Amino acid sequence: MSDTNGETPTSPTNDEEFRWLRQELAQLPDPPMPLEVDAQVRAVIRTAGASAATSPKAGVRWLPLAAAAGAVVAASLAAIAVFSKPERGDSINGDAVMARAAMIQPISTETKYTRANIEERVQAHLTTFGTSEAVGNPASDEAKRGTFASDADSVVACVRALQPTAGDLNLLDLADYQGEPSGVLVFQAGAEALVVVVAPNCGQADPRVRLRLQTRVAAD
Amino acid sequence: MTDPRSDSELLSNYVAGDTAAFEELYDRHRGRLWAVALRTTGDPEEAADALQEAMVSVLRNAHAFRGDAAVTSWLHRIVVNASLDRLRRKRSRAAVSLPDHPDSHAALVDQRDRTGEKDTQLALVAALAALPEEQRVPIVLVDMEGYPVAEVAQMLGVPSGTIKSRCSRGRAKLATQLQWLRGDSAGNQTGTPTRHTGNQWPLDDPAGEEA
Repeated sequence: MSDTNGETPTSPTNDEEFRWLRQELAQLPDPPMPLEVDAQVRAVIRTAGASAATSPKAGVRWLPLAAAAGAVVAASLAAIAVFSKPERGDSINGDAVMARAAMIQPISTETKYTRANIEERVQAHLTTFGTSEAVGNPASDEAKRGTFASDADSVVACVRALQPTAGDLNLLDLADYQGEPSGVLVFQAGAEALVVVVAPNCGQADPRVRLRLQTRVAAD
Repeated sequence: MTDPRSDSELLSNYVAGDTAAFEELYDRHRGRLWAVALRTTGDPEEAADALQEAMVSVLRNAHAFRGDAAVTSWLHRIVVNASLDRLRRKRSRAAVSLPDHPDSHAALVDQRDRTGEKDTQLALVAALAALPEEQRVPIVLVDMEGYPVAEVAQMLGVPSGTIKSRCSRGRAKLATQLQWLRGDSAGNQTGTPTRHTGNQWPLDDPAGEEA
């Protein structure tokens, strides 16, 4: 969805000018859901729901469109990972924090972070959705390649180097910060959050921090 | 018998271990969620995959739902995110071409409608599908799903002005193809469109009186 900068916003009367069209669009009835799509989504819900209920760390069972209802295949989307949330209040250098870091789903929201907007953007993501996984937009293999987000061990190495002072790693967004490809990490403990921006090659020897700031998000 | 529990209660019950509660929640909203996925992706197969991914994401993150937004808004947002992700992945694999086969358009129309309204729906859907993705998606999110411009801007990672501009250009293109829907030969706005409400205004009756 990229676009050139400097697009001229529309006239305020544009909404009025096309009110008739917008009403037509808004009144379009919902297309019916095909029965086979409904059956497959239900099968996924039952399988994934059962997995979550019995084994929080189980992998996702995926039902591709062409599979017969009831058939279960091995997970093929690493982007949708099940994780168990560490208990809040664990030691910042404890196993729980690293375990969460190892399982977090890196995302690529394509947000253009700047020093001026980063707090507001991060707060918006976390206040509404809570975690990377709920925000959506899982990072592609291409986006992760060559960065600290390329695999779980590299994420953990970067996190260890950061020595965060707040709790759970709840957001890992591969995006631009001040026009530079970066990793935006947010560690959250209750309403307090630590936002750290790192270069793509953040590692145990050098986290390559570009920004570190404390902020607040809505508490549980 | 209709389940009396609210959406929030169903979600809480699911988090507490009642897996059937989630399927009840899905039953309530599946029609709208399917519509969102299909209109955003423009492709039935991509929409089906997006909806499945979204439901799995919802299941895994139900415990993290903070209740600041309504459950329906939260569900819609996750489906929109999954749909946009499908579009990004598709874009990265090949040049995106919106489906132009009539069957694809037919999937976006309620085929149970036996009146002339189906022609209207087909025309609307075809015109929408013909828009470039960068205009179609904002129009779907703003004009059809009712998201505020600022929220759509955040979803798509572009400024609000860019969203307004894309909506404006998209609406202008749709309008040139769909002027006949306005029902007034003078081109004046005639208030609430009537083709879907049963009060048919013949196109050749500028007074707008029923035949």
